[in-house]
Amino acid sequence: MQRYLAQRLLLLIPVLFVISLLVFSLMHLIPGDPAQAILGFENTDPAQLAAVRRDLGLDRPVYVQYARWLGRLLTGNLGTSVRTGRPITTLVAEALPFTIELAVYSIALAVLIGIPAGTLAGTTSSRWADAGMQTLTLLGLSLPAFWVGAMFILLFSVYLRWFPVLTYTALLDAPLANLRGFFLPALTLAIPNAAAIARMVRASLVSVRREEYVKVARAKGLSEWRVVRAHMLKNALIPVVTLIGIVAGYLLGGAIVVEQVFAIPGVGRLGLQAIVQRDYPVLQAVVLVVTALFVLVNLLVDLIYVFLDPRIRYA
Amino acid sequence: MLVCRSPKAVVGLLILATIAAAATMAPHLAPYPVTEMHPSDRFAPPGGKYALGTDFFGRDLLSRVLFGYRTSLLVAVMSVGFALVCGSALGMSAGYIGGALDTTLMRAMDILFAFPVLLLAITIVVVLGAGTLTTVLAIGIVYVPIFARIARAPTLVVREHAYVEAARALGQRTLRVIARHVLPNISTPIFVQATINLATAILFESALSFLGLGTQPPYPSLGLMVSEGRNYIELSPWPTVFPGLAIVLAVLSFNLVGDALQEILDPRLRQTWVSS
Repeated sequence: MQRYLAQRLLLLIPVLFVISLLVFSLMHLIPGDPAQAILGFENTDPAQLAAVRRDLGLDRPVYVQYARWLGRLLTGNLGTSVRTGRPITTLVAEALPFTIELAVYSIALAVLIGIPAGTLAGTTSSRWADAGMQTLTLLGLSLPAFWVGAMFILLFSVYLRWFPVLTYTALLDAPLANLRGFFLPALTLAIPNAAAIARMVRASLVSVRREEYVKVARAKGLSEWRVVRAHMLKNALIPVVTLIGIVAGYLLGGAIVVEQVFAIPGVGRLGLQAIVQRDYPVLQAVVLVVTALFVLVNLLVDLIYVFLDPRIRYA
Repeated sequence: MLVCRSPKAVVGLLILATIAAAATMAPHLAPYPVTEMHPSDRFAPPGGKYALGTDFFGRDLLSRVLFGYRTSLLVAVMSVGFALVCGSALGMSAGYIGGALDTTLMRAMDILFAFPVLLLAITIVVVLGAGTLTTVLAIGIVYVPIFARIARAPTLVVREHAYVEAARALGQRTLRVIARHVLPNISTPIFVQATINLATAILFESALSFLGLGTQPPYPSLGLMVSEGRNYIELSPWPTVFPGLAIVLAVLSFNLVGDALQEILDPRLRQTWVSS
């Protein structure tokens, strides 16, 4: 296990290196001159343009620019926003807690909804209950988050006034108000993931219900609930952990749309603002940070998987 | 036809056929020109002159939804088609030829997989500039690794089969062997994946348009319509409600067909309703 862990961690280095190279290259492919964008398009003074390019290091060869950027990156310095002049590390550090809270909250809701729903569909003896649950989960997978979010705001915030409109407090300052404020965005993000989890649980339960060990458990006279909980679900939930990992990674990137709908000042919104303002160093940092987190979450899930399923042996 | 025995597939195909027909016939079915404004009828409710109501500019929502479907379906089919062709070609080449080509191609796919999909699509759009064609490319590129993986795994099995060896022994060229003998035998999972991806491609296109990075105004896209309608949702919810429902219907129809196909191909997913 330790060897596997070391191998996986070592493998992270080239992966992150290639990702950084790709992100840097992509940002340099964006048409337009960053120096011109900073100065404003009405200012065409060549001397000023040259000065800004020199300040940003844009007059150097691309590989030198990359090496300098990578060097700064290794010291935790993501550069400076060309729009606000603020350090990007600070901007990301301010936005990241919102995105992470949204992701964790929505995963919790997705699990709370998805596992019972999947268990019901996978163990019910009613064809209609199963068909109904399957239709509902397919519907859940078909809902665009930005539309669901808008509908939730309209229904629960504007008409019914059950939830505040676009106001967020810090989790540690007012935990209940914070959870209430984040409920609708988290639920919006949770719906397709709850549907995916429910489908996975159902498929797993359907595939194990005729296994020998389940028949033995029933033959021993265990109650149906005990058979499901102690024997079927235990094995059926292992692939769900992988799915939750994939979902967690997706949420880090996919939260962009929900952050935009609910005006949450998270990393996704920071990235979108950077696109609108042509603040490409910020966009570069956002893409890099989110992708690195995505890779790390996937690694973490793989490791949890090894702990959960002793049948898996990594040579 | 097994598909016809699945109620899910039948319902999905019926909805899909209706949507596809409506989108194709949009210029004939739309009651009003798609960008025509009726300032005196802004935010008209559904019914009367306008079946689904009008938006902020007094544009007919039904006409815009019909044309929005055209954009959504066009982008979905083109992007999935692009990914299917490129991804399958890469996956089959990697699996059939193997060696260094396999390692290089699949590691490149792994790197693409390392990016969160929406973020990668957004980055590609920013690099290439927003627009319908760019959206096709962005979604297509994001989906290429999925098809490459789906195509590679069965290719590894098929290339060892006697009929493929016989074709090789007869001196057929690699490209011909792949096209004539490998492709027909690995096409089923690729086809099912394409159906599923068509559903997510519609969601993708609408999300990119919602963020202002897809189809550009004034041409209608369902995501863009939701985005525009959202600004006036308290004045009139219809410009937001109907385009959203239209997206749900299209995505649901693809999901129903994809789900039914998966069940047909993997009977383990079906519940058996014998009393147990």
